Amino acid sequence: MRSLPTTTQRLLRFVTPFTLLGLAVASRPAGAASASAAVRLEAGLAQPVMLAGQKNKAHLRVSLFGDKAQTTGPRPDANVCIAIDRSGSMTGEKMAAARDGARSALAKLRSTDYVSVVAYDSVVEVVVPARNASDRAAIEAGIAGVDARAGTALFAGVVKCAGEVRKFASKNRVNRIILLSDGQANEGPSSPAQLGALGASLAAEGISVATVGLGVDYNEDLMVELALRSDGSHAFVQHAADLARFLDQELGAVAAVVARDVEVKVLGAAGTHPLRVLGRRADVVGQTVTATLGKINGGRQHVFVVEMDVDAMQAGSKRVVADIEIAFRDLLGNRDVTSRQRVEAQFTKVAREVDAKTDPRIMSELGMLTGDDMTQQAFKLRDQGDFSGAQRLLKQNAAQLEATAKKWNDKRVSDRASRANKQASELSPAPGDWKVQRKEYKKSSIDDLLNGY
Amino acid sequence: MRFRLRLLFVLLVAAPLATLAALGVWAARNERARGDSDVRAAMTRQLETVAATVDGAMSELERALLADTEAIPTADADAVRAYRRARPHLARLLVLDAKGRLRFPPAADGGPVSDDERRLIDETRDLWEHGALANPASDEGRSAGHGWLPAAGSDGIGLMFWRNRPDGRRVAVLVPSAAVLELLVARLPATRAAAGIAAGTTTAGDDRLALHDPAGKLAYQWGAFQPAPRARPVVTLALAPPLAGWRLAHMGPAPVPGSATFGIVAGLCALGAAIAATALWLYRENTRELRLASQRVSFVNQVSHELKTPLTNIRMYAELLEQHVAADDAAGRKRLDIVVTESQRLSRLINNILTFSRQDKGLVRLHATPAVVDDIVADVIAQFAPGFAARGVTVNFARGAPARVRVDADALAQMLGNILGNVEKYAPGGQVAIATTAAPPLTTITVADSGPGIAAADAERIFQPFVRLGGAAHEGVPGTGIGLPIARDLARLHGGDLRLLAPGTGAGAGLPGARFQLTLRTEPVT
Repeated sequence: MRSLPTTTQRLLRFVTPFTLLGLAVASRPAGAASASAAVRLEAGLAQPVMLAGQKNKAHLRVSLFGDKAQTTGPRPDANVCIAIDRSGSMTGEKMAAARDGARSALAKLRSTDYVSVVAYDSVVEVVVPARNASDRAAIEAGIAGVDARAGTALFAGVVKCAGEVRKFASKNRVNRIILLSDGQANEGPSSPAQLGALGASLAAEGISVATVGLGVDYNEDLMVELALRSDGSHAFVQHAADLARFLDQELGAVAAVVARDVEVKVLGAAGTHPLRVLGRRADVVGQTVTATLGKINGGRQHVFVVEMDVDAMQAGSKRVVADIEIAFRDLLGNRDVTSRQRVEAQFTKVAREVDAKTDPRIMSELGMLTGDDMTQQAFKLRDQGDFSGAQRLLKQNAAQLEATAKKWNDKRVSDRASRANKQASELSPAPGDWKVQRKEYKKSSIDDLLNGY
Repeated sequence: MRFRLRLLFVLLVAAPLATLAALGVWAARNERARGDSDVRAAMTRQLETVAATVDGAMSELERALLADTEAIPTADADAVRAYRRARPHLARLLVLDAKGRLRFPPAADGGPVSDDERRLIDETRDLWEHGALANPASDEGRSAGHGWLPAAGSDGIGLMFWRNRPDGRRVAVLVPSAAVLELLVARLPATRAAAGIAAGTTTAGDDRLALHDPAGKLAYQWGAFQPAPRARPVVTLALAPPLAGWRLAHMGPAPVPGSATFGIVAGLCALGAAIAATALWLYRENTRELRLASQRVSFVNQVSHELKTPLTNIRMYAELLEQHVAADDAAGRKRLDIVVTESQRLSRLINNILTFSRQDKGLVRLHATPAVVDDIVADVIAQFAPGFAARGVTVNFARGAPARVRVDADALAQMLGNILGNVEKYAPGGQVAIATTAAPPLTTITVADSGPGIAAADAERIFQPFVRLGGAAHEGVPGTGIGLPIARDLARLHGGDLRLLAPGTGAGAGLPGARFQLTLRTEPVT
């Protein structure tokens, strides 16, 4: 923090010509970042012009965009471990589907990729120790031997899979665990918080977990938390046949990863007070907001919004709101990249100017993120058995989204609005239906969170 | 006889077998107990190996934490955060100053803290405010300047690592139980896959080991063995601090009664069979000999019977012939006497044999008829007269039983004949004094001679069948060894007895040789 003023001064000099235009986005990536970077950083305020002489609430949008153009080149090597649930409930069709899925995933891999297979019930078996994917016959023989048993030591299964991934883990590979489960973890640590902590620990090593819930009995909170904290992805596969398709997609996603170990820092300037972060888990410490992403896929955009208080300013003054720093591993260029961007705001006494400068895109996204927040609250109410309260909240959410969509004329928001409407009308008081709906909603919300728009 | 023999053989087989069986069972039990404790010891060693792995993992964690807590810049909260961010195992980190005040997260200093930091402060408040972390002086790690504390968290009991830095600050890191378990599970073996590729990783064998957390919950298990639901561990091992409360368990397979027991039982069976076979063989041998002996006895009986008739004829015709021999034909009379005497001797012998065999079968019956004992004795003496004469034995008969009493004359003759036969054989050229006394209802006949006599030690032996005394006096003297036993048995059947008197007692006390007293119960005839 102590070094910030000098940096700010230096940057101020650099960005002055742009700020004269009154633009929120003060600069293109500075420093080491270049146009060819795998990740593009964009930051801006929903309302870059604020009313002077009063306290303002500002919404700072940060967007990270995986460069699609660069995914056409050779994809990075994959280092994948598939953890297969072989508890008693997997018997029959599901077990066969899991084996078929693993086989079809194998077919997607190249000879430079690494693969391992772990099967877990009460105990964990390393069915296929980590090896080159070209050893196809041996790997398929290992997969064929996985049959259903009893117990679900999910935590240990993931840990052992991580052990296999570690054998060939490299900064330049996409290190991934694909976890298949149809049930509740019932042996070893089994709370969402514990699995989430495991996910965070794996994410720090650059290993992400893609969790796949099979059927309708799995613990989605646990699976979602594990995926979220490890920057993986989550899928709800109600029918065994859908599994292979998801694994195809997942392996496709492995192929599309362009950056790893992404850290974004929002350094609020003096007079700003970050309140909360919408759209991503982030640490807020004083005026600093830190968010990390395990990976960014090509063509995907990751967006979060920092909500902050801004102290009263004099009219006509222009001031720095925040500096944004990003650091990541460029997988395509095999190098570490950092870049930095400054966001400024202007203050006026004329309310019309504020509206005129309001960024409709950011307002739309803010509306969507707020909507996500409301949806989560509605889930919580429904979990507690408050069916009508949940339905009311979903309807309210839909109405707000509709209003936002109309005001800013954004199709994405109107899509969300119709989804919220659908959720509100479909919401069923039957516990059995809720079990399925909950998983679908969870999945769509985590998709938004993990995969961007 | 046969029944006793069988009993003997049964005992002979059963007793050692029972003893051996008892020994075998004892030995087997011992063996099993030892085998059991051997298996348990092996299981404990196995758990100790695992515990060593766990200790190694914890030491590694401790080393990493020592290095991190040494290197971490603590002066500036943001510097702490920057250092911490790339190291998720330091996510829950506390810094206390020399006075034990919390400096990071900087809540007390009024600095900004994140939600996670706020949660950490609240969760660990007990520890750093007044608890063990505020003053871990009692901890054994004080000299080393670092140590571990148990830290209860929302997800079970985790650990708190702390160290004192040279700058006086104390840095502590909360390691939640899930993080401990992640570390341990990564180090502990997986289960060997039944099918698939032989793993290059450490895998467990055909048993089942388990790790339990301080709450007693199963945290991780490995090994192909499938214990029964809710099976109890065979052996357990408590883990050393800092993992106090954690426990390793060997779930089996439990030791089963080993092959040692089978060996003992098999050995016992074999030995029993050998003993039984030997006993059976001995029994068959024995009965075969008994059968042969009884065949021989019955053969002798048959022969004796067959001899009896011609002998009677010989005696009868010899006695008839005696009347036709001229009175002056001394030579012829003498030859005839020899024929008569010898045939009488032969007759006594045969009678003895037949009596003996009847005795054996319990068939001897006495038939008492009215008679005068003195007359019978005189008749017997008369029968022996030629023999005595030939051997130069002089007879002195003192009559003392003239009354008619009920007596088995044949038996009395046989008894007396057997006694006198001995006199004839053993006391040639001597004297024999025979005296009868009557004391109704008993009649006593005493026979004393001047022969070599019988040692007191042999006084009873001579009445046992087939016992023939050794020594010069008996050398070259023929005999069967059944005369005296038969005489005593008959006397006892007759309500009396036959005894050997000490020399110098009773009638004829002057004679130095053998002295027999025959007592019979003779009911007077009214």
